[in-house]
Amino acid sequence: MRKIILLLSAAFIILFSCATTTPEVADTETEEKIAEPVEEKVVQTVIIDVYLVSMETQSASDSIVDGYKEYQYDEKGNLLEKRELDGEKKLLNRMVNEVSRNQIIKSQWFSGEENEPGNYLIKEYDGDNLIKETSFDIEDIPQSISTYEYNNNEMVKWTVSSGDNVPMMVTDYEYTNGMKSKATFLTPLGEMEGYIKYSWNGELIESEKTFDENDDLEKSIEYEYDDGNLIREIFYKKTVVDHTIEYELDENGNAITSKYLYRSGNLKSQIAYEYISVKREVQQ
Amino acid sequence: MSNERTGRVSKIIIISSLLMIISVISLSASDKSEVWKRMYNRAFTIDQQFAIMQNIVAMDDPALIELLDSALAEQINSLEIQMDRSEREKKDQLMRMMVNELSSLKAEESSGTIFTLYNAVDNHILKADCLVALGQIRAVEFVPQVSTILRNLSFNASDDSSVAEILAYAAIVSLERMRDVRGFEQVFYASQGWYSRRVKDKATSVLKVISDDPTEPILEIIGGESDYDVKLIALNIENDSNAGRENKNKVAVLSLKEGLRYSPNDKMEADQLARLRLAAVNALILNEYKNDDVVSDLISSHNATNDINEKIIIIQALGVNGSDKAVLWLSDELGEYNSRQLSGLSANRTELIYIKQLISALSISANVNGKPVLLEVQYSDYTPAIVRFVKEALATFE
Repeated sequence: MRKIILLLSAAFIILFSCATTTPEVADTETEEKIAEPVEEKVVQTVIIDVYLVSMETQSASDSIVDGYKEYQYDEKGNLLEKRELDGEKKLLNRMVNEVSRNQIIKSQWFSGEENEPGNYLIKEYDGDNLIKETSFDIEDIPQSISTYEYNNNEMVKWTVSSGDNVPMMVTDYEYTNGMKSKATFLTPLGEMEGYIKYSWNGELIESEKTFDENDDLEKSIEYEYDDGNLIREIFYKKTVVDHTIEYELDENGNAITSKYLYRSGNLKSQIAYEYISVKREVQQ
Repeated sequence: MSNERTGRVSKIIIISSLLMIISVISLSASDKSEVWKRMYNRAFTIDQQFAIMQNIVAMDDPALIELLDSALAEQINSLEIQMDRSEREKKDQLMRMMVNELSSLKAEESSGTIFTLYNAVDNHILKADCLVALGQIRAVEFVPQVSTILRNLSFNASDDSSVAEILAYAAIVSLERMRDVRGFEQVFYASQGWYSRRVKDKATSVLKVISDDPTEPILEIIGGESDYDVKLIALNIENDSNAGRENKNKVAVLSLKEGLRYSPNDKMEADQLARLRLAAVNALILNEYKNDDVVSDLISSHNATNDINEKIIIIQALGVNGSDKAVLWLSDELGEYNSRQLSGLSANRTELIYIKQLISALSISANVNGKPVLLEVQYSDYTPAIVRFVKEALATFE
């Protein structure tokens, strides 16, 4: 059961700290600390410890460190800044988030040690739901607009439009037992271009298979778990393994390293993770 | 709290969290990557491609490397198409964005495309990005090419020195990040080149990073370089490196040979060669070189200088060497002073310093072949101070 908490909490963290553009901070774990003994169906506030990735150390196959990613959060665990550094810890680029009412409302990218500002993204919400993202270039000209539609808090449609608001692509989502089961990619005229099918084992995702418009398999990802903790992702091109990512976990189920392996099984690179923890209140 | 209650609370957390997380799960990275990829493939103007590429870059998703690589290759293939200036600038910006993202994703499979781009474009900022990206990816198969680029820049063949500086800086950063010893030599020459202080300082600092053991290129530089001061700089870099003693001694031995090999044309050159020899001898002492193949060069160095301080250091090096050949020469040298002393030619103050150094060197050698001449010193009419000194030296043999 605890492993399920880990998975769900990881997604919870993405929602409140990273929105939708930085999925790499999803390697997190929670352990519940209970404020008061509770009985079922009684609304209570629960404090949980949320573990957030604070540093990634990237190494090549020869173990030489060739880069770092640093993550900085506010006291509630919202991602404030992500910095990418080279092997000598010189700044390569950074992303800075603005947070309001526990939601990221703006992300901006800066490059180089000169801190040269780049494009930025404005996010709008309806309650807890992200409903619009607009990306702007450095001259404040809108480049693309994403709008999201919901049905009972399930996102059912994502529409991408050009900066001048001409629809360019629509993605429809379907759910089975509350879990996303299919994402279908459509042209603005409604022509299907392809789709992804998701398979679940309870709350654990087992596979994602991407098909083209002729229902031919293009690629897939299979997920493997150990006692509910993700330990392996196998990436296929059509039906042939392309590469594998393996996770080494600590005693709490936190990923402490991930290894990117070629199809041959030889190591391409690896990442070591460090964490910080923040406390969160959860209403239930 | 009992385990039973903990379990119950856990279940409640799961149920209550479920609604909040659904919206996130429904927008996993795979969906987004797939959408932006499909949109990019449909875009046909530079403006559209640029707008979509911003979102692709924001994903920072390794799954998009293939798309970025093929998109960059397409941009290279269409470089010849006529464009107005603003379109060309946008295209360059788009390619910079792609190169920098491939760099960030460490897409080693894209190194060939990036190097092709370097050769295909004129925009020096884009070219510099390509060089840095090759380093960030650690595309070590391109070390020879990047080294050649840096070598040509160091020859100052370009008409525009400010552009050459930008490219040289990028090439140095590239070789720094590749950390391949094959890049050392050209970074070394850049550190001694025509560039501004900023570029030269960068190159100097990078030398320490490129390789823990730069012996191989340092030997090439010392053996092939005609400037004596540059040979000395190379020797000092080897001495400051993390190379092992054996390799540091290889460099010191070669440096000593080079310091003896040339006849100076003037006092400046004589001083340069003397500094090179002295630095080499000091390295041999520090790294305790004991092979007798260097003894004849040490003796030649001793004979080539009139500087008593230099002679004293060479004698120390012979003592540290401790080989039979070294001890034989030290014994002969001390024996000669013993004979002079017995014949009534008392050593002056400078000679006494020299004699003490010979005694000390024979003691350091710990070679028993040096003992007879030290015993002789006790009966050669030296001052009581010298006799006391030699007794202490002899004690080391017991």
